[in-house]
Amino acid sequence: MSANLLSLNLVELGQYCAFLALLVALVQGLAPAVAHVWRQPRLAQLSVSGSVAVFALTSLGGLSLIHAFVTSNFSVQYVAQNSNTLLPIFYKVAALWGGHEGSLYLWVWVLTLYTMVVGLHGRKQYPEHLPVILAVQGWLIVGFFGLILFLSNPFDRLFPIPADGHDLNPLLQDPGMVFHPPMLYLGYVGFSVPFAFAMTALITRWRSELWIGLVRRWALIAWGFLTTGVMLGGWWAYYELGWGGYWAWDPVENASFMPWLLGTALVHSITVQDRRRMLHAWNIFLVISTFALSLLGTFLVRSGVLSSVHAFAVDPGRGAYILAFMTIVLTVSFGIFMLRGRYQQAEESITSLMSRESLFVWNNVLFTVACASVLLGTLYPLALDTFTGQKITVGAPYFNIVMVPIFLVIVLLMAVGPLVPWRKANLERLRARLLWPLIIGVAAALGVILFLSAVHWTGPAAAGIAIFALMNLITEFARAIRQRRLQLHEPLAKACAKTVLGNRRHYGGMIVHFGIVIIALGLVGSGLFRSEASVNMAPGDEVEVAGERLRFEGVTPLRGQNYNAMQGRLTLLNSGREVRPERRTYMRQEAPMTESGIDSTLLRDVYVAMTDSTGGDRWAVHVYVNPLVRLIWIGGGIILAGLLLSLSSRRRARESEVSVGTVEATK
Amino acid sequence: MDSSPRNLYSFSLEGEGQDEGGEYKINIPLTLTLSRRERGFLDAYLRPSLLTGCSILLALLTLPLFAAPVTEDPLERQMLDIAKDLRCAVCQNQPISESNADLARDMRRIVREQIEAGKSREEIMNYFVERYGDYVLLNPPKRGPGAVIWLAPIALLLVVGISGFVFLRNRLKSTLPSAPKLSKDDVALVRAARKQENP
Repeated sequence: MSANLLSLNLVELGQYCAFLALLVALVQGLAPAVAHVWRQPRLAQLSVSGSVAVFALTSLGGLSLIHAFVTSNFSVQYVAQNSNTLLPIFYKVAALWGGHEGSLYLWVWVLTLYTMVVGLHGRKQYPEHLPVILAVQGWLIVGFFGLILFLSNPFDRLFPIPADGHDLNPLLQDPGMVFHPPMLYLGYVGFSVPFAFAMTALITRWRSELWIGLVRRWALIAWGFLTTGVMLGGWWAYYELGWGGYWAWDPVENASFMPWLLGTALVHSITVQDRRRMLHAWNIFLVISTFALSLLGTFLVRSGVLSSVHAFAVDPGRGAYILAFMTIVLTVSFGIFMLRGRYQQAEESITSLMSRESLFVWNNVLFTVACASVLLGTLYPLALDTFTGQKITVGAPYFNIVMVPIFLVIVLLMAVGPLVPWRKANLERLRARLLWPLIIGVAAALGVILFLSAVHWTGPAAAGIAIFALMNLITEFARAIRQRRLQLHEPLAKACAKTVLGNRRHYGGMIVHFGIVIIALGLVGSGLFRSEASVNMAPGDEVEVAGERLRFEGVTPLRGQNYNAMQGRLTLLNSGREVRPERRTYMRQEAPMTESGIDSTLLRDVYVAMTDSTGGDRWAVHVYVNPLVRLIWIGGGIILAGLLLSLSSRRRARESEVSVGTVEATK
Repeated sequence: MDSSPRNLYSFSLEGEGQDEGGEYKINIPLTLTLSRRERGFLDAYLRPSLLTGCSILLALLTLPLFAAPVTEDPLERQMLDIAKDLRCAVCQNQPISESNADLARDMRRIVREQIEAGKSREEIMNYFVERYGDYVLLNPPKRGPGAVIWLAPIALLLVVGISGFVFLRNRLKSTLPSAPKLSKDDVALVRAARKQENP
């Protein structure tokens, strides 16, 4: 009983901490303005120390919620709704972000974490601008805490206290889903840092040369987390949803994909500003828009507006708050942008249309169009329903038709872009460099047409473009190595390592591109050359899909910690391995869930989902053979590796390179 | 002849399988009556091999039945091809081919029945559009409000693409003009200034 009392009080304590955090964040938001008005510059430092306090208080609140989950304290309504006593402890902790209220809490928790890290990081590097940056972050924290504490409070109590809780949505009881939301939020919220920098730059007229390098790093970090989050989401959908695919162009997925698209445009165009002092205003526009899309993504998923426009109206307070908050953020940020955006338009001009900076502009054009198309496809049905009552659906077939051509051109641009130098390209030399990769790419496309029964024109086109990009990456790297070895006579391994480590920023980017190519190949293979069969099987029956022979061995009942399952066993006769799809019924849930059984090799996945018992010991079994799916996950890993390499370069890398160069030249 | 129950060996060959004619079961009862001597011989040596032989026989009988792979009902494939473009009206953005909702099940059954009745893909789609509206089409129709969504990407590409091009053109034009030629007086002034600096 005493333990129970303590646990009751801990939740109260958590709520007080959250309220305090809201108040401190308010102080953090006001401090620089007050310091400016009262001419007391030292007051502004309040926002710096405030950022640490806000994080500490928010953490206490979050930990008290986790404690409530772990101790199954069902007097907390949110715990009762999203957990029960049988839930494994791993998922009890993760249940914090299993529902609406907790997800928002995690969001603000991550936001306070970023704010504190910026606060600690900036004390030496940009002390005079730090208070304003933290004030912008502070206002965002206030906005979110307002929503959490007044309209969707995870600390709310339930009385009478139920004996047991509902359950965490079984779909979420999967490792992919445990890590997917935090990664996604680290990405979404990460873009709040460039946003705060851009706002500060506009307000304090901070020269862009001084902050663009910092923003580039923060944007890359956010982009990395967002990429991880999106990849994990696809991975989870693939393993858990049992329909053999990983991306359905669901509005929830689109919500995370839009900031990714614009964020990708941003990390490219920032480079142009960093290297060529161009696109200042455009970059600020991109920073604001990317963050706005992150907010939109959170709210689309969290407000329930996607399941039905009417779900939004069920809780009008919450809906109105969300709309008002977004409107304020957008109005204020774009307002400041309009008023002050011209301050740093001392732009350099372009020497030639065939230059890297001009290709970066085209990259931005394509990513912007891609993002706007997804945005329209996601929001248009909602808007149409709200304003005219007409209902239409914009589903996966539409997005595939529209987006695939855009992505093909983007990959083509990615293949050529890094070969084109800044300022002006020598077309003769460029043509010579592109010749062989182009021939091999066309050969690959022809190979696909001749040897594989291509279903769609995108098959050979995508394969050809991906191989073309791959060849360009390989030949460029080989050329750099060869030149280095000619000059310095180093052994091959050393030359490779020195080349990559000597210019981490460039080769980090190239490794990311390599990962994209690998993913593109995986998407082509699994998207266009998938084979499937939906059959009824009794024990002993065999089925053959794309040369893979499977024998259904039967079904055995199985008992997990909080579910009962029927586990099927199928032997892959070609290799002797087994796959074990399951049909799970979680306690306190009615609808059974599908757990797919997957046998994965580099070349193909055999993916089996059992759907229904069709009488006796016969089961409806859906078998997919998905070629090259594993390349997608491998590509995701390569992207992260490249990103880390790029981030590991020190900021003064260019200067140190120059000094190394001169030393070598004098030898 | 010794006919004690001990020496009566009964067993049956059983098997079941499926072929074009449908499912069938085999059950062949066999009874062997053996003398004591035969029985001893059997126990010592033959029995295991007889059983092995029988099981081989059984395997031979049933092997072709089991090994014929289950093939997908072509009707099922046709049904799924149509079902993947129809939205399950009660689910969140799921095609009926992937949903386990009762409604999706019913809709799949209807698609199947209509294919069996010889209806074309268009006719089946229209059947659902009449009942549920354009809402059931995952690919929005290219007319009415759906037309906007199909034209929008093209319009976006044009607008953003042209603005990108115009931006690049303007940046190209705005290269700084080359410095104007100095007049003779100016050159003299510059010379004088230089002399003052480094005498």
